[in-house]
Amino acid sequence: MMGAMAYGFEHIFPSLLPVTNLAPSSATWFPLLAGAGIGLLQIPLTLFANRGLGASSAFVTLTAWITKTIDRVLGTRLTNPALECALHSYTDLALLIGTISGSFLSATLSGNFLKPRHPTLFNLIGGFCLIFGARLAGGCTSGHGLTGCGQLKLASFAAVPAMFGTGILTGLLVQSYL
Amino acid sequence: MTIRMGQCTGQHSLCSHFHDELCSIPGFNISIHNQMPMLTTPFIGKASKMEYARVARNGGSEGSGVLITLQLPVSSLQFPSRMQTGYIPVPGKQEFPCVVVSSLFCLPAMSTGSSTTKDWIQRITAAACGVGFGFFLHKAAVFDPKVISDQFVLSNFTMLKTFLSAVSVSLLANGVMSCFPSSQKQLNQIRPPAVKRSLSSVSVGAGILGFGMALAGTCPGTVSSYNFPNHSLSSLLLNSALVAALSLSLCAQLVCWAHMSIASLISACKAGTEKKLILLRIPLRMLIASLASHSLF
Repeated sequence: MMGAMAYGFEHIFPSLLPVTNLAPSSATWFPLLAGAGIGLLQIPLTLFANRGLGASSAFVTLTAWITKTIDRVLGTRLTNPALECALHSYTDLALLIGTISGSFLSATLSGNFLKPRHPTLFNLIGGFCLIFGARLAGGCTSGHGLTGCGQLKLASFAAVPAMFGTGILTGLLVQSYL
Repeated sequence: MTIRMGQCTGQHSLCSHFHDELCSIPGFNISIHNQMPMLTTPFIGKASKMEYARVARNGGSEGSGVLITLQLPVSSLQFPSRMQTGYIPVPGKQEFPCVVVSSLFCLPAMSTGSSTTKDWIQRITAAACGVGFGFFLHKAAVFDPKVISDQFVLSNFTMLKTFLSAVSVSLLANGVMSCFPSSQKQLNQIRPPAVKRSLSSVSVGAGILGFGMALAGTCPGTVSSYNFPNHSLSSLLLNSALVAALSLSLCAQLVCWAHMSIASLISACKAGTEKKLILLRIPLRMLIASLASHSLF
């Protein structure tokens, strides 16, 4: 059904970006194919890494490392039990580092680097809301959207419409008032 | 009242935070029973719920004890089934205090520091899949904030297409994996997102996430696939959204922590102990929080 929706979207709103071929050196791929590649990553992750795709938990690990360092230097007790557990989740961090390097690899191969800069204020507010919301919801777009919906979890099917609904509302408001 | 903590089944071991949290209850003193064989391997976790309970022992007599419900996180969950509740009788005591540990997820021996081959396989697989994830995200062009913010004004549907395609293929992949008994077992062991979170907190959190996503034009996955033209990896880490996300999550942590210290102050005032110490700690914590936020912006 989702696949049919994706195909329908492709049919109604054809890809705006130039799609040449599937070579690693081409700037962009057909979005449906790249998405299918992301979906297929669930198999090795499930079989060998005992987890699903998800990006936001790595930030908790990084925060835990920072708080632990502050604790060691200043002798405070900043690290709470939840962070203490996140200290040792290296797979999250491995996934994050992999993502950074994979994107870097693709960008180097195709020469398609990021050009426009977003307003810094938006980045700051948005970045905070991203991680705060992701941790409150217990997962981010990839955690809830890909892993949770892939497992047919009710919470994820509530989270995704909330995510996109608020996003579209905000986007339209920002567009009309700024 | 002295409580000796131990494990109730072979898969439970002691949690170091139990000790702290139970010790913070006024009038409680806990001694850890180190002679028990499995207790030398502590596991980290958070006792999420504690209550005093009358616990029936062997179906007969009753003892007073502490009921502890454990909600353990995440990453290396090994026994994803509900543990049977148990209790620890302390022999030689007339009124035997019991500790009931029930756990949804048990996380054995995580803090020992030694990584097994299985851990390394997990990490390497995660890194390799991360490379694939970043590669496909970049190829789908969703690394570009413009593409994502255009999605939210409904002028460019690249992100939605990628997302829906990824979801449908994940569903398909999970469907295929659940056909084989061995992979189905693996599939059942995966921690789903939002374990033990209410539907309302999930939807409110997702709403905040969506707000941030539309503003910053990125999401926690695509923020790490940012790239800048000067080909240096360090510049990747300096991009503002990533730094904002990280620093502000830290600040949120600090605020939460300051709040916790106020709560602990109130409880200490009630108990009348450690007052001076905590009174000193709070301004220090506030100072660190403000310093952190000022240095970042």
